[in-house]
Amino acid sequence: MNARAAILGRLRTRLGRDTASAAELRIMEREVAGRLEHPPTHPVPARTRLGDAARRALFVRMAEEAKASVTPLARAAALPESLRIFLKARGLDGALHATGEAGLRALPWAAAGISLRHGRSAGTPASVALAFAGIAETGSLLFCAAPESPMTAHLLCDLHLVLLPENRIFATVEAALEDFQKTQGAFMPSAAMFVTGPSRTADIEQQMQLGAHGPRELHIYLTEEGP
Amino acid sequence: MAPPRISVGLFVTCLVDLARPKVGLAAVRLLEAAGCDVVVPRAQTCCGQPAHNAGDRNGAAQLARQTIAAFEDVDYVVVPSGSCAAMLRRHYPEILAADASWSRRAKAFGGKVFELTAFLADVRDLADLPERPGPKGPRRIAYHDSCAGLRELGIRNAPRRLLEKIPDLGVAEIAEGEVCCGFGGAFCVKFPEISERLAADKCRAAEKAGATELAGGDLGCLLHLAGKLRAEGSNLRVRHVAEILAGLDDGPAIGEPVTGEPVTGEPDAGEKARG
Amino acid sequence: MKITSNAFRANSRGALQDRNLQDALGNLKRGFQEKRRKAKARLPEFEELQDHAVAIKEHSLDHLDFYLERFEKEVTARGGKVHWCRDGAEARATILKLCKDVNAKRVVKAKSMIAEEIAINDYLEANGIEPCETDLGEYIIQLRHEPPSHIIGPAIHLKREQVADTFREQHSEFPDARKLDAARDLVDEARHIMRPRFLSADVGISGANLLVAETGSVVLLSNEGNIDLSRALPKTHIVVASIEKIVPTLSDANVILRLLSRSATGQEAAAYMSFLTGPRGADETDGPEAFHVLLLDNGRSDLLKGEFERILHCIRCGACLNHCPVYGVTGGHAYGAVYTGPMGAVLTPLLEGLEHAAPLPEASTFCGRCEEVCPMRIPLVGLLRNLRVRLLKKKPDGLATRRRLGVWLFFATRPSLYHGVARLLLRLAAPFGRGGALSVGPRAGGWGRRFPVQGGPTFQEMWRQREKAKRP
Repeated sequence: MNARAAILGRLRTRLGRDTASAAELRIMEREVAGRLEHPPTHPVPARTRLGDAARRALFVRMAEEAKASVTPLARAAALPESLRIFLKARGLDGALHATGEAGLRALPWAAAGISLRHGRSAGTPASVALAFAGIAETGSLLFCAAPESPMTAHLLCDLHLVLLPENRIFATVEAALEDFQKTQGAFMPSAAMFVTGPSRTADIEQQMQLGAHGPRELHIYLTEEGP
Repeated sequence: MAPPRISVGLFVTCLVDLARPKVGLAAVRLLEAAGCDVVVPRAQTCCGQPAHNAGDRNGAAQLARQTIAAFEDVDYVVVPSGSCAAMLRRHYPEILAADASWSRRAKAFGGKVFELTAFLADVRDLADLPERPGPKGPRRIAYHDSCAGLRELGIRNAPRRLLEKIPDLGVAEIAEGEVCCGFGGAFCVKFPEISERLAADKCRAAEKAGATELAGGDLGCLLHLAGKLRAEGSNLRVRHVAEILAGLDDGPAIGEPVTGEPVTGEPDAGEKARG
Repeated sequence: MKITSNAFRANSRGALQDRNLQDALGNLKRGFQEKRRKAKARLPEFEELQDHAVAIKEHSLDHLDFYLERFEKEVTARGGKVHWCRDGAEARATILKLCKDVNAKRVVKAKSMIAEEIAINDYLEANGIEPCETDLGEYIIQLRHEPPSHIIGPAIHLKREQVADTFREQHSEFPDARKLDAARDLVDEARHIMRPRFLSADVGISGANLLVAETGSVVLLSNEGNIDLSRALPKTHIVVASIEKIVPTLSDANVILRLLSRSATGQEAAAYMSFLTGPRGADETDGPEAFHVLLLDNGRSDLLKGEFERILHCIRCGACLNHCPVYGVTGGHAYGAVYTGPMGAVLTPLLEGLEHAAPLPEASTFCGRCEEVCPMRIPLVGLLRNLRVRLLKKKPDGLATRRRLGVWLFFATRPSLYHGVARLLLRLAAPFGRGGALSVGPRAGGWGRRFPVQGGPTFQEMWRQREKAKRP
């Protein structure tokens, strides 16, 4: 007997499936299918049930608590200039790794003297990315794997610079994933990564150190007007 | 107005019966002050925890049935121990769950079981403690919350509320008070080194609380801690909370010699007495 | 790993004497307990979520066969492959074959308890494949050839200086004189070492925090970003998950996820939480081309519908370890097994056999703090007690205890005899008890434990006298 049949067989014996009638099994299968279709309502933290402004404020508070910085920008178009100043202050040249969303590409990079590289990253001082969503409950950013959004762009940089339009802040992880399903037509991306602050470790004497294997810093640029 | 008199069966606990009878006397004094007619059924011995926690289900069930039968005629069963009270109240119904008629009796029985301080403070709402022949003057007492009382019965405020009725008495909080003292019944015999270390940690924390006395509601923990404190020559005196509340706290504390002055730094007194 | 749980007593004595370990454990307790308490206090819905989480797990386990098949169907539909493994040997063989199929030389591994359970590292190494642990804590203990001592912090038992010594010894490519005294230096050095390994690895291996049947997704949490790198870079990704990790839907998963990080590290959310569903999509430039999920039984199915089923609710947050007084002074290694602390004391005897882990169910004071902090409300004390029932029935372990209990029970169930004997014993003890204490127990501990017994009349005796005096 192969392992699959053996394991499932053992589970079915333990669960009493062999003593259940065919009708009972059909009912059970229908119930399970029904539950998958319409999962029970689970509690969602009340602190996430907020109006737009309060939700934005919660996102900022939680992101900052997770050691990300949040910079408000009136327009996305202001991002390149803002990053030029930032990179200069850090002694970095005007080259950035970037995710490839059209909205991000269309910003006035050249005017700010910044050139973008796209695609898979093999390590870079700084990456700029467009987040799919923000999560107010935890101050997280959602990145979904896509041709224009390789996950390495978010992981192999020291400075993770992320553009997030305010209207993309959702209350919860559930709400953001639901939006992905609705708008992208796919049920789940190959990777949906929720990022909360820079990478970190407390493996040595419980002391929190930022910048473990991923970004050392996470800077979020929150725009009132999306790209 | 005082509530009407009620009948209370005192479940003495084997440790009180054998190692610190004074706690039983104190409990009776307190219960009578709270308007209870106290009886002490002779058909009681041990609550059965040693069997229950060693995995002897039959032994535990035998003692559960014996105890339930012994206390059927009283309104309440009061126990000067959180862990024995939890055994009677919470574990008897589990232990006897398989037997329908005993299961019913165990549930009814469990409903009338209370730990002493919880009974006095919450059920009887005791207004005045008995007359105190005991020492007067300011004192600070560190209170040790025993695990079973704290977690299985939720006892935390009751003993403190009662203690604070004593004039000039302050309750000092032990840091990390919810951590186990390492007694654990058979655990302290099976893993003496771990048990000792936990006792030592608890003793340090109790000393740091800035008290001269250590009180608690469970004699198991108190004997364990008193043994450790004595071995270390500590000045901290250990008493069951009932002794203090009843004003029977003038004699030797737990672990102190029956006669003579309060012990300071005589770890080998027991040894000497034997030799 | 080779299990040494039967040596728990000796192990724990050693641990109590280990100064470095005791310092490290002090940090652990203070850090994790306080953080968890705060995180829980900030989420008023915590207990309500716990109720839902328990119900979700019960439902999932009651329909484990359905949901595993559904999960398999979804993973397959997304281009991944599911491999069923009865035990560790099958899992190891499967992983090796998958590695060999792609001619793998180097594997990057994210921390996974299941990978420890099946001891995959040694196996791969023996077969010429280099397993690189990437979680910093796990990497440190790999260098030191030690098992993890904690679910969340595998190297929690070590002090900074010990890690620095290990790095100096093993990272020969760095100058000897380099500064390594701060945690920052150590983290940076590990990051530096690991980056090229990520980039050159052929296979990434991770565990799973949850499996979602509805979508065929694998949920993984990390703080370092290493799990996501081990997925994003190698061409093959292998997930090793035990079968009880399954939940029906994403919405169910989120209930448990809200409890997990808060209970584990006291974080509102781990820095990285990823839902991995199948291999990279068309035109994606990173992520694995092959996505494998191993569904490992290894003794779980035997626990289903039995008296120990609730241990299958465990989500490996480590809260019971962090709050256990015994773990708090012995650390994890004393348990001599992959799973340690209260949950380990339950799970290890069940997975490895009670005869190989006999002391563990007894190594608890039953203080109940573990079940108080368990986000899944697992009745750990009750489960340990059930194991003690088995232990007592087992010869020869239980024989001595059975005898002692038998004698005691003989008296305890005969109240008149009991009270008579008690009276007599205390009379005899009285002369000794005047000093305030008696030594009791066979070897009541090297510290000369004295159990203070005063001797004299029992309470029952006093009470009888009082009643007699009252009578006219």
